[in-house]
Amino acid sequence: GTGKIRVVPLGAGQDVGGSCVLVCIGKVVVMFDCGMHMGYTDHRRFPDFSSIPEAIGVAAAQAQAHTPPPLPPAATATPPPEGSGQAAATVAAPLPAGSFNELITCVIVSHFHLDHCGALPHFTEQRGYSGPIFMTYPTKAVAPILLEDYRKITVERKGDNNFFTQQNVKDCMNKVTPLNVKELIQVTDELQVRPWYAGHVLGAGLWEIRVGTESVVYTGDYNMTPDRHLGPAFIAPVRPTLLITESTYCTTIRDSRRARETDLLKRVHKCVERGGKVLIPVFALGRAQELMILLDMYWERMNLNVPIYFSGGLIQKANVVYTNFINWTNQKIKQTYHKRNVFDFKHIQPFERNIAENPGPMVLFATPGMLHTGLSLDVFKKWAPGEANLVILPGYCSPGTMGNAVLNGAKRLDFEGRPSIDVRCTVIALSFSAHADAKGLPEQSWFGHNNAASLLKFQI
Amino acid sequence: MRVENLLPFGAGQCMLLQMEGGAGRATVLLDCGIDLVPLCASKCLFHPTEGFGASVKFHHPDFASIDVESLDAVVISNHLNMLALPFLTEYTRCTAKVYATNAAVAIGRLMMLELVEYFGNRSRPVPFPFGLTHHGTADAQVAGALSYLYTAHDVEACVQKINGVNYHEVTDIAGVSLQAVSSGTYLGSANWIISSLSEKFVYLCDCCSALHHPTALDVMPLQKCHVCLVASPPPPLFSPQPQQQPQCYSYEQTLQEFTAIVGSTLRQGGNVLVPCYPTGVLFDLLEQLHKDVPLAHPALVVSPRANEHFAYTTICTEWLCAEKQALGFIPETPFVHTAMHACGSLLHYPTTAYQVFTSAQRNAVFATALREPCIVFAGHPSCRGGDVTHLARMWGSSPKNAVVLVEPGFCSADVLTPFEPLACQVHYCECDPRQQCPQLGSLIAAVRPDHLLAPACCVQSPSNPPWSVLANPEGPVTPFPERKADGSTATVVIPTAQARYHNADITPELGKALQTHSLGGDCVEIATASCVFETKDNRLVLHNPSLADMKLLSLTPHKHLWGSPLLSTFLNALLEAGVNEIAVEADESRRGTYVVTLRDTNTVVWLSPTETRVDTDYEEVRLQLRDIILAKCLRHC
Repeated sequence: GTGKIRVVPLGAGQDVGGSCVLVCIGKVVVMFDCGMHMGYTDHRRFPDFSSIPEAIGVAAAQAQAHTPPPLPPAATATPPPEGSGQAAATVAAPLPAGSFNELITCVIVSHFHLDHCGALPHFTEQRGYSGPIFMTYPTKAVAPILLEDYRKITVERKGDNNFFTQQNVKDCMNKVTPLNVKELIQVTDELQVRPWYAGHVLGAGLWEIRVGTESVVYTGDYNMTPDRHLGPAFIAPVRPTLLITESTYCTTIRDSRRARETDLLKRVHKCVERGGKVLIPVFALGRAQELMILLDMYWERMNLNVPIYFSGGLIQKANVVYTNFINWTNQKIKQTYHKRNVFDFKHIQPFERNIAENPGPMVLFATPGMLHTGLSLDVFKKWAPGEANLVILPGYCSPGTMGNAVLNGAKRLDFEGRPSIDVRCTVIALSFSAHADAKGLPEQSWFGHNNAASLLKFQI
Repeated sequence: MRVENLLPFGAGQCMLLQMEGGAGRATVLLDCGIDLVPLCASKCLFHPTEGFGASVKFHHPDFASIDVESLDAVVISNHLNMLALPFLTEYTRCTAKVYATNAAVAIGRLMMLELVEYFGNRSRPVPFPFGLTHHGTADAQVAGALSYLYTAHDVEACVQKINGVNYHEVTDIAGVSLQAVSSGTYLGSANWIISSLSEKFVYLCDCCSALHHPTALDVMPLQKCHVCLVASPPPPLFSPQPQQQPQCYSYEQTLQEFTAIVGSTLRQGGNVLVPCYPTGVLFDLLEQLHKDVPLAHPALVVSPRANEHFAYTTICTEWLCAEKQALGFIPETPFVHTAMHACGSLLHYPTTAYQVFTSAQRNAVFATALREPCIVFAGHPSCRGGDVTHLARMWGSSPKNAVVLVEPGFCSADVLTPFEPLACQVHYCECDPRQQCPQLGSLIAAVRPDHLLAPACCVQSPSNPPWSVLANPEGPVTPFPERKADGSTATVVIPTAQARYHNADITPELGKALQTHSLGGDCVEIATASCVFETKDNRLVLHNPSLADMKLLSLTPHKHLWGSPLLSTFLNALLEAGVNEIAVEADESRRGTYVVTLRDTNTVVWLSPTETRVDTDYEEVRLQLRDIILAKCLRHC
């Protein structure tokens, strides 16, 4: 064999933050995910790329012994755009552009959530990585939408100029090779890469890499239970040497899906019946689509006419993406798309900002999911004092975000230089997340995405 | 390796491949097409909406002539080459796994269902109004078999049995691995790579090097193959004058020629009828039309499955060329026709629904859509069934109108004979995206196969003109005989090297018991084991011997020879032993085998990786050679 496999987390580890895991097999170094930590606004939001040479240690030393010394930065490499004076530069001396290409064989992005791909434009455009990058087709379509959306919020609304630019996102995505499920790619003479179906969100992949006789499967986030628009995760029995899996919910076994759905619908219905407003903070693509299919069908069945809105111009874009890549949804949607496209919602309309002030009940899907910025936070500030209102936080909220504070029962929220806000509305957290739970997780593996206490459960 | 052709060339593919794979022989059926040429020879028309029982028979491969139960796999290269699949899966005992790309399955299903609607059981021949009678093809004249068409139920059952794959997906079956790579012609069209541990076989079918809507032709994975099979003769070159040397035409040129014809006909107030399939070439025609011809009235596509074909084009981003994929990522709709449909300049209808051939009773919805002059695309391209037959009759009487034949294979005068005399203009504008001979030649030069198998009409011979001949710069070319109606075999056998190694699985119990020893050097470790081979689905499994096996094993020697004699080592050993008069030549019939002649003693030695044979009159020479080989060329463990 080729000897040891080394696994070095640059992010994730024990926190739902930015996932970024290096796997070294012999001279091959694969970076799985290149995520952003949403809880930080300083250099800590990106993985510590400067530590890569040290992190891969022996493997890197070998690699350098077998490759020519790093080339000077290519003449065509564009200097960092004005105003974005490299966040990390102040913390650690940046490596010369191009040197990451010597250290890293390829980057694989498991799915489009920003905690898995958010640092990619920074890594390629500002830190000079220009080697191979692999994603599935839908990930390549959705990731730039989310990256651009988040960039706008960060740069244009919060005035944070220490960030990648719109052009950076475009240039970065042009370097990505899209792959289909089960497509086997020979990256170098030694390295083979193959994605499998992960469920979770559109285009999420379980990734298998193979070097000689060693193989690793990196699951990213996955879901073993089919939902309203996706199928369950699937991988052939490839018998990897090492399995690296997520474990966000490894300490809980959720109620059945049907029970959770009924619970959500009942609460929403009750609230709007009493004239309340329902705020559902979501990520723009993914879980949002599943919840929207659910509510759209329920409205149809119950003959309700309370308006449902979706924030941002993303809905049309999202629907086109979901239609273009409908082959990645579940069997039923695929087979009926030519009769009724389920992403063509009957009861859900685009949101305009002044609508939040309207009297009367309504349901609003707003981004982002963790209430840390953007429209969901703005509307939350307006609606939180109303006792009749309901906020449903469907996903996990990172420590440091407003969503996390609210989930932990904060009744009074303070904002720098602004009047504080009393939370009188009902706040519920549904474990309506597209992650595998303890039943869905395998028995022995290396876990990412969790906190220390619950990891122990598996170590016993 | 053995390949047998089951259908005539140029008529839908079907070939049988047998190759050594794993521990046995793998049998793979390459494609399963219907020969639609005899359909055009018939002068009978079939009405799509009336009918009591079928009377048209379709020409498909004769599955009775092969052992379908021994088939391990069926691979499909594109949707046109799977039309006979329900005959195989629903009417024989075939249990082989069928593989096709997901796009080919989706489109192929629609094509088969459409064929059923046009020519299936519900239809019966309509007496031809101009007094012609049905001249069906006699059963004896075809190489293959004739059957009435399958039913829609058969199609759905058949499609359930197909395993959809993506490009570059590797499937292991019966000791060989199957992989589809893009051939660039249609959505999901594929060349198949079938490889065993020792051999790589490439099946080239309908390749296209022009850049149009599907994923571009993928050449890299085809390289370094042992045998490359060209499935059908490339489309003929274009001869401007009978005396001149034929030329290549570009696909784009033919599309432009098409729009020029359409433009001038519409300008003069005439209607244009284009008999074609509702997929493939049609998408390129629509795109070119949108670019070149301002349409006063909506263009119409008439096909029972047009709705589903067009819907499919909005969800097939993975199967598109890079340019269209980029649109899918923005995200926008990749095809121009989607926008044309949205703004009403392109309409599609399942049928014109004419009950009789008078315009008074035409379908009301269709009638409102049909605003003349306009262009209508309708099936079936053979003009033997479907709405195209009514439209041809309706418009054929006016010299202002034009029929433009575009679909490859349906671009001859035969196609329109049932409608003669025709007053309208007839244009032959075959839009064939497939590679012509020179382009196919450069593909083969890029692939560099050790051995090329090509249709006999494409191999150098006095009767073949030089521009239709395929060459192989790397090795021999073997002509592939045409399947003929007289029952003569169309089989080619290619000598291939004997496999030196096989992959085997070791059971966990046996694996635990193995003790390895380093052989020195880098990573080579060996172990001795007493075990038993078992073969299942051409895969070897090594497991611990049972008591009965132990008895047999005790009879075998404990020392083993290891390695194979290298020619150079052997010759050096001979020189050392003082043998000087040596002649060496490679064995033509077996790759890797050398014939060494020792002239002094009139001794011949055949040296191959798996065996060494000595032919001599002197026993002492034989013993001496044996000792040399044992001592110098092999190792003992």
